[in-house]
Amino acid sequence: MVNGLLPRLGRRLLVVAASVLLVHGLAFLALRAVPGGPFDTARPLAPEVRAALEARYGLDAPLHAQYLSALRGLLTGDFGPSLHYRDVAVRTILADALPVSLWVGGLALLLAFPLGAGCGVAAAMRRRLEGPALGASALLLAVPNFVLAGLFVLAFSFGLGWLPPAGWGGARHVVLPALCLALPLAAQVFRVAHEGARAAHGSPAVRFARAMGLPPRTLARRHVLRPALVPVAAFLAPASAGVLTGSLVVERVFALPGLGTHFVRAAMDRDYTLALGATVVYTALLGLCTLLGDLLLAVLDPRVEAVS
Amino acid sequence: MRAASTFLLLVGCAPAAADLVVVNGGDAAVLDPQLAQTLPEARLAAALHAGLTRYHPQSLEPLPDLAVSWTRDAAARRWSFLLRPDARWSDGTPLTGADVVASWDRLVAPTTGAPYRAWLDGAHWTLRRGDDGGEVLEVVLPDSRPAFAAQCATWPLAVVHARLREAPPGALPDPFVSSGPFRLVRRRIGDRVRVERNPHSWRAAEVAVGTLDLLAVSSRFTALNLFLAGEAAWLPQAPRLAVPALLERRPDAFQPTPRFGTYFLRLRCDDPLLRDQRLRMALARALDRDRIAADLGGTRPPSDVLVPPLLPGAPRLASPQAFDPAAARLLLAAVRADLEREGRAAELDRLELLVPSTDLDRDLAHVLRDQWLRHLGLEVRIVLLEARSAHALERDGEFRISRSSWIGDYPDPTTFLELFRTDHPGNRTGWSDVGFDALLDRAATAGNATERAALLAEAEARLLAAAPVVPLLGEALEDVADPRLRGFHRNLLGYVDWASLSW
Repeated sequence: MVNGLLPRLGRRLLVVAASVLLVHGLAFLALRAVPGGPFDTARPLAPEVRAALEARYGLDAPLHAQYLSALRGLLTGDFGPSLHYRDVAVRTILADALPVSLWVGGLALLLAFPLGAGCGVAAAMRRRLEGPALGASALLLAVPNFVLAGLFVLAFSFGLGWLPPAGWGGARHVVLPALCLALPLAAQVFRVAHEGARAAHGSPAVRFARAMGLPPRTLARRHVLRPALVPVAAFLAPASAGVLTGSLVVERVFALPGLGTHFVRAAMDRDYTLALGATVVYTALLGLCTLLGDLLLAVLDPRVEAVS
Repeated sequence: MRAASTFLLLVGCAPAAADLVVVNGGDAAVLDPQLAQTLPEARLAAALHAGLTRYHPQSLEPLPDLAVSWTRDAAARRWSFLLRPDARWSDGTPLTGADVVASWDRLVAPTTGAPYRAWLDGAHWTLRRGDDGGEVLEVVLPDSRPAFAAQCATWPLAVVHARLREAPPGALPDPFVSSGPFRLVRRRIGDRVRVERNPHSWRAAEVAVGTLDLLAVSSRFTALNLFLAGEAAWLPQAPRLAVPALLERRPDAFQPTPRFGTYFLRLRCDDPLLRDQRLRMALARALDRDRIAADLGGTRPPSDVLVPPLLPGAPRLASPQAFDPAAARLLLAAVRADLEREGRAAELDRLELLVPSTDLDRDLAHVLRDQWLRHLGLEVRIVLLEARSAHALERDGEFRISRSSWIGDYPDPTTFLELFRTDHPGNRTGWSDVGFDALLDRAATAGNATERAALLAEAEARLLAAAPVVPLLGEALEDVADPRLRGFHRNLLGYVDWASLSW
């Protein structure tokens, strides 16, 4: 597995870099194609004020010049000033927001994967758990995030008074948003793990091991868990990127200063520089998570070639 | 470093809570008062920046701030402001008349990109020494402005420190030096702005709150949750759906009051169809504003005039657009007959209403369509677009009817009427009337307040009769305030004097 790993890893990193470049270019074009601009607000601007603002932020330059400037920003990691938060650099906004999303998303991942995978395997092994677990996962998948968030706020903030209903300022503020992100994700992981475990459970190898009298716990640990985790690992990559970069709904409901809000709001505000910066962060994170997922997959299943 | 501080925050070493926490609505995009245009930015500017005057928190009368007193000539064109000799910036350095001059010079420079640049367009200001040696700012305005002292209390005319004046895009000076009753402690986009008492402010002695957090919370339900959980003492706008419950259960905290703002429609007067004033008036008179207000819920009052009749002594205008479905049908029949003669009657079925896709606007659009269908038999198509796209189309005149709103910047009718002058960027209707412009010009040079008010009322009546604009509803201040918040007053502008609050 190790033979030739580094060159292959290098190639994959190059693919990630190329993806970032491509997505950056497409996002640049898509943002400029949408009607309206960063200075189109309900309050009208005088033409000379608009012209001055456009000149100040380089929006009066030809499109190719603007793209080259954006490209320079991408290569240097300096995306320039935000066009909405005009006295803040995009780099500062992303550096403030990303850790929030990483913490909340990371905690959600830590909750969701063991919970979902564990329940998935357990339900496949014990048929009497299967029905209730499938029902619970269907319910969690069906209930929208904002409904779940509302129920949690009702229960834990206004009912029990344990946790604040929103805001950012301490560990207590992370629990509810992380749970809201984690539970639907856990339901998805459960489905994937359950399918994997059922397939493994019915395989000739497991049937043979069972016939040989292997205890159920050993059977699960040695012959079911590992194959069940292979599809979970494949699912891990895109799910992680999505969760770690924040969720608009959860961040809005809990007033979290995370990246998910910027990702959407920047496009709505025609904040070209912030939207490009957030897109680049998301694409890079997605690429890296996919790469890590593939590495994990190779560890779990030796038949899969690492970073192939 | 940021990750480390976030970690410390999570493991319990969160910074101490502020003395007073309020919700400021959405994020304030800028801290520079000359670039600010949204309500959250204006509220923040009121905490951080001082102007020549400030509002009385209840009556909105201008009070001394950086200027200790002022005088004006009879025509309200020449103003003299005696500046405070002991004024200081938040870093303790002296704040002088030269700072005021430089701030206003920056405001009018087109390169600044200040949205309120036009306020001082054509004005001149100079510094001189007064009889007692103090600095006096002499301002000569291009027109009569009795409300100029009140205008000086608004954020665009606040003084701005040299480091902020010279800051390049994307950079906030560190430390951020300001002149208001509070100074900046830290700002986290999407979270909060924390300010603390400015010990160098001339109002420092009256500031009872040591630290103040202004939370950026865009969801009104989340803001209300924070209030109900005791995590915030004030929020600027209650969710529309929660209004009935708040009225019933929290009358101590929720007391909606009229606000100096109007919801209205713009009609393109250079449109081949809507250039006919009779059709515009038919659309206006077919709207039952009482019904609209009731259908939408909330506490916005019905309105068929543009300038909310809320200012003391304001004449009550009998609107030519008052609801009269029979008159509206007659007007439409006349228009239809003319169009049929020209073979263009089918064009009446192609009327469109451009609406930004917010919850309120979506509901409003359906109510309007229903009323036009019921009273005129006209099917108006709704074009829902996200806000920026809708604003861009409105700016470019690519609409037939669009939904707009305006909240007065200062308590004077001109803040509404000036919008509809020929060539004003806020006009956006293609309507031009030399008679209307002349009335505003005459009001600008009127000899006394009564004459001025009468001329402005006549101008408004002329505007409403031409119907490039169709008022629908007044604005309401639907904030929620903890009754324990002392020094808090509701007023027409929704202005909060943070310095006078105690908790």
